[in-house]
Amino acid sequence: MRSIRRQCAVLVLLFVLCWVVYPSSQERIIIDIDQVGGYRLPIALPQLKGETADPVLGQQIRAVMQRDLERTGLFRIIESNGSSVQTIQTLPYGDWSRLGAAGVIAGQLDVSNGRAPLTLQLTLHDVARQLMLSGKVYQGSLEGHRRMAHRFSDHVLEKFTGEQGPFDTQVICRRPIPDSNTTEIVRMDYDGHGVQRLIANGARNLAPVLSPDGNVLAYTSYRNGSPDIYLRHLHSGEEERLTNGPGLAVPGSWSPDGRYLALSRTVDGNNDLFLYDTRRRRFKRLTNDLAIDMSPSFAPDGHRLVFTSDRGGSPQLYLTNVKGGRPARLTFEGTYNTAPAWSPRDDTIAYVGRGEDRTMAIYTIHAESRQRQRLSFGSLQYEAPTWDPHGRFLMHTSRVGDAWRRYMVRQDGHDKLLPAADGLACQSPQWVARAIPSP
Amino acid sequence: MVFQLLRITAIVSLSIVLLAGCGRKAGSVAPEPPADMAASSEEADTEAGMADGMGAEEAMSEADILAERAMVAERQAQQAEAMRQEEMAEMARAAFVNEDIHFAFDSFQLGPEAERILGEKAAWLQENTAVDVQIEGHCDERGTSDYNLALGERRANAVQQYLTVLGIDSGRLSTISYGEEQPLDPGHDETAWSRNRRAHFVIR
Repeated sequence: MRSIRRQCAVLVLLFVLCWVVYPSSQERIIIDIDQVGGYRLPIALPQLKGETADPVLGQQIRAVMQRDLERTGLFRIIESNGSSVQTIQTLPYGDWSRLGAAGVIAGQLDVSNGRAPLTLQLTLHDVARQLMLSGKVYQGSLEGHRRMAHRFSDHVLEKFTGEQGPFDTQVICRRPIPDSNTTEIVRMDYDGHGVQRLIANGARNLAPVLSPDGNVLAYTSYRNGSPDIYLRHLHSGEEERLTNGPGLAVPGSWSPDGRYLALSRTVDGNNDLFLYDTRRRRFKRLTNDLAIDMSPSFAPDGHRLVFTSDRGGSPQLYLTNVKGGRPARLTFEGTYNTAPAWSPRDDTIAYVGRGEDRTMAIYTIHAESRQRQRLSFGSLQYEAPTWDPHGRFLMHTSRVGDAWRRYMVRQDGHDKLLPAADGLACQSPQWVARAIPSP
Repeated sequence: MVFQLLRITAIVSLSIVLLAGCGRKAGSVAPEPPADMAASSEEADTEAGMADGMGAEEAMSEADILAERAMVAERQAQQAEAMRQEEMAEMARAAFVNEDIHFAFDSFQLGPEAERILGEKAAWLQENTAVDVQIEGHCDERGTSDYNLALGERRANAVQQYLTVLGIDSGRLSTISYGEEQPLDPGHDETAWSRNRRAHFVIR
């Protein structure tokens, strides 16, 4: 509660103004995010003007942007140490061209004692064309600097690829409390900073899924003995118990409009899919089969769903819809295909599969063409993947040795390790849009 | 038993008293004793009676020792048997709790070994009718966590159903799945995995 209030204070102070003084350049897409190859666009990220007044803050801002951009595998930050501080207006494009930079992120940092102590101006320049692509001014608290940097990283990615960036986002995950049988549920920035506890009740809590409006957290908790689904209204702090044992109940995903929660529930020993209608407060059965039916994930159309079932003898992905139509099998290769996540933008479905070589990996499959692609190699064990809110990147956790690691993955399989939050593992991550503070 | 011993003792002592009386009668051929003598004779009778009583007491002791020995031996045997039974019950209880049912990867089928162990568990449950148990279903760390929750539930349910078929009231058998959340063995090899794919019994 306290951390939410603190965050609100930060956000209230954070204003974003579009830089209207500069003429906006004509849009042109420089990088096709799906046809990258090995090329990485060289970008210079020199010292900010005014950084010498607060070198730590300036370095942190640039480090956040550097790591964001590098994680995409689309950019290479070129060393520009020793270069003189550049003013925004008089950027010597020739010098940057000689350093090999195709783009430059320049900026200015002002720290004052006012209500919004930090003012950060950032501009993006196209060196070859010798023009400024765009600029932003951010004002807010000093703690807001990471968020300002993430937002500009998103902006840079959008300018170069035409795609919205995944950086000013958050992740919901569960974290095992060491030396106990309990897990808590937290929200944090996608890069592991700014951890906020959402559920910490001294019990085992699993499978968190946040509603699209960021207000209702569905999760499974053992706190009353049986694994039941609870809905926590984050703004009010109120909580509803959705199921009351004795069988298993696990939330899968929210419909894009946030009205329905698709979930798996065991009734009279039989595990099936249900939709919970939050408006009418009732369950609707989606499947009726003696087999296991788990992990329902909504398509962006809010009509179709993909889920895991072992009705054919081994766990495979199946497609159904909110009318509860006869499920159609989607995966036929391999004997273990589970944990599907339907992309929020198209018919691509990411999942954990066991390939012909019997090792686990992250795959994507197209719901219509059934075209399948393997995205990962090397680890033996993977947990459910999750899409960024714009559906361009994936995040998954996998085990390397004794440690669980979190990766950000491009759809061509390029991946980068994400930092651990407070040194603790982030399990069952759900990549979500940044929370809008309660009114 | 004790009553019988007392009865034997009483009969023995009565016979002695009667025999003593006869003896006295036989000696009555002697001149008529003086009144005091008669009195003393009465006394003697009494003494004799007392002496007879002593004799009876001695006879009782012998029987009693034997009886008591028998009793002690019997009690010891009973205690030993009780202890043995208690130990066995404890061992049976420990075996019941500690012996897990194991499964193959991504399977909730009960193999012959699992059925043998469950037969023993059913026998124990039939002898211990006051006991309710919770059957926990667990998985190894491979596979994904949500699916493993469902698989763990299937394992627990398979065990519950089998025990019900063996005649155990399903009301005594609750189930819960922990999926891959509570590994018994933290290792990352087949040895650890096979130990972790289990149904575990908890006495409630």
